[in-house]
Amino acid sequence: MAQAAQSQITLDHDDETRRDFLTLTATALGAVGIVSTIWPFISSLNPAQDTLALSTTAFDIKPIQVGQRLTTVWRGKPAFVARRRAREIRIPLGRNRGDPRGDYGGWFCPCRGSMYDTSGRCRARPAPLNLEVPPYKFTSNTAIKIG
Amino acid sequence: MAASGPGASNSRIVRWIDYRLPFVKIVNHELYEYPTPRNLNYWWNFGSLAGIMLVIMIVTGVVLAMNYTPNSDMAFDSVQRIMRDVNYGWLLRYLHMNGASMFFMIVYIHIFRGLYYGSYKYPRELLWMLGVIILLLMMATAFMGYVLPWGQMSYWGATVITNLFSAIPVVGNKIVTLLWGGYTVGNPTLNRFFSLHYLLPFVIVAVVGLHLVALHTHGSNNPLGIDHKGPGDTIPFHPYYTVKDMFGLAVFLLIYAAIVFYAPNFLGDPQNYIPANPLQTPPDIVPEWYFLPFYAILRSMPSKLFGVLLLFSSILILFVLPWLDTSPVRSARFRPIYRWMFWLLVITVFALGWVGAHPPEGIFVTVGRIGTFYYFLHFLVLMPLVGKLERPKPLPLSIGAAVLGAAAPAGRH
Repeated sequence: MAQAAQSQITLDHDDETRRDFLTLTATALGAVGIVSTIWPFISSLNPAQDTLALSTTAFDIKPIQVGQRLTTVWRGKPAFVARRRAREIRIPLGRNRGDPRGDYGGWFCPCRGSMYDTSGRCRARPAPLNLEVPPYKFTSNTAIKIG
Repeated sequence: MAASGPGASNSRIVRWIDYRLPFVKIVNHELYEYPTPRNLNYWWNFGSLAGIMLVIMIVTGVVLAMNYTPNSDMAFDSVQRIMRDVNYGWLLRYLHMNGASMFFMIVYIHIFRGLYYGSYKYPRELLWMLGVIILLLMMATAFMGYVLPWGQMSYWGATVITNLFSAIPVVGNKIVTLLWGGYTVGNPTLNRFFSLHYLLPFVIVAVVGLHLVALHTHGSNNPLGIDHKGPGDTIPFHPYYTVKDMFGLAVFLLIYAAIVFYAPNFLGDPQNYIPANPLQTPPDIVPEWYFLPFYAILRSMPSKLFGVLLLFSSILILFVLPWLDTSPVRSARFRPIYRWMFWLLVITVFALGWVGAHPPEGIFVTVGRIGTFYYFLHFLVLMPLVGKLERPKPLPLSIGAAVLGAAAPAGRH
């Protein structure tokens, strides 16, 4: 009788660890399954292949005069190609007064009032970064490839 | 109607249905028998008004979607076609566009009603939190809807708001690219916004359902903020409050119609009648009026990340409001200090709205910062403190006694 009870307890115990193991593995496998099922849905929100294919822009810089700034489009955003005047390069922190586009002669952000100078540096907060300089390289002396 | 009364219907068909699906029984229980405090004032009209507005938005939206094209090359023109060529398209679009403004106006009044009369307190905490979820869903829906006409303000508004997520450290830019489906707001963005703009209203319907279940569990709060204790304190919802709600609806529809027919573009930004141009930023990027106070909070901070955090906190703070308010008294009528705090909050929110509509410079920055400071001070410091320090006025014994005075028959309570 005592022996029977003993074996009953061992059986219960065995059963418990077996059930724990099954629960854990089934849950783990289920979690992996759910994550790998969700992944395509999230991934489909990222840029598609045709969008990625549009990510370089070729630009001829020959016609740009000193002091002139041209705008091209790179990845759907404006990209500025400027041939800065000597003073814009030499006196980088000089302040250009009376410019309608902001206090520093560069760009003005109408959302929260950030200002950038002619070299795209952030001069008035809250923008945490300068204007982004996209990757570019000179494909010849007069042409660049952005992106 | 009174003859049908509570309980079983005489109709065999109704009994057959009710035995299988208790539809008539539930309607009867929640509308005819539903005991409602007898002293609700007109501020209690705005809940049902919001529900009706949601239906108007869905109906007009479904019809508009039949003529709208969610493609960045065609969206602007398809909206113009709705305005010029589609039969009554102008009416449907003006109803939908101004309907969004009306919806927010109603919901903001509804929220301030809750704040004044303490409708968020025990046992209505979940009811209140569901309401905050509805507000968040409404904001997302309205924002994405505003992008659909693909005008200048659509495009640049979407750019500013989605860029908020770039303030998140490390993964910020990845999240923004994920939201856009490209390197800028573009056709993929417009497509997904249209899909979600169509989906979210039905999610709102579901949450409104839960909001109503929570409401009907303990019933409406009332201007006195005390629980109803007996039949002398309540009246059946129908016909008393159906009639009152209908009257309020008629007054509201007059205002709504006046705006739709006589000043349909008064609340909108003329910039949005210029097609979206990624190469030209408008002189001033301003959201719709219902986002202006939050926009002012965002811009009050000199740091981008901190501004974004404050913006989200200003709404999320409402979730914990039931626990920030330590006063056991619900209605501000009996809370001499909180009452003034409440009106100060109302003034603050209006001031922030005024600041949000102007460029962030000079006086607007100062007022924006003071306003933001008071907004958070109100909820985080004053509410817990005043609840403990304030000495509330004595509460009436019952709703019936307060409304009917000494003439109330004592036995009926």
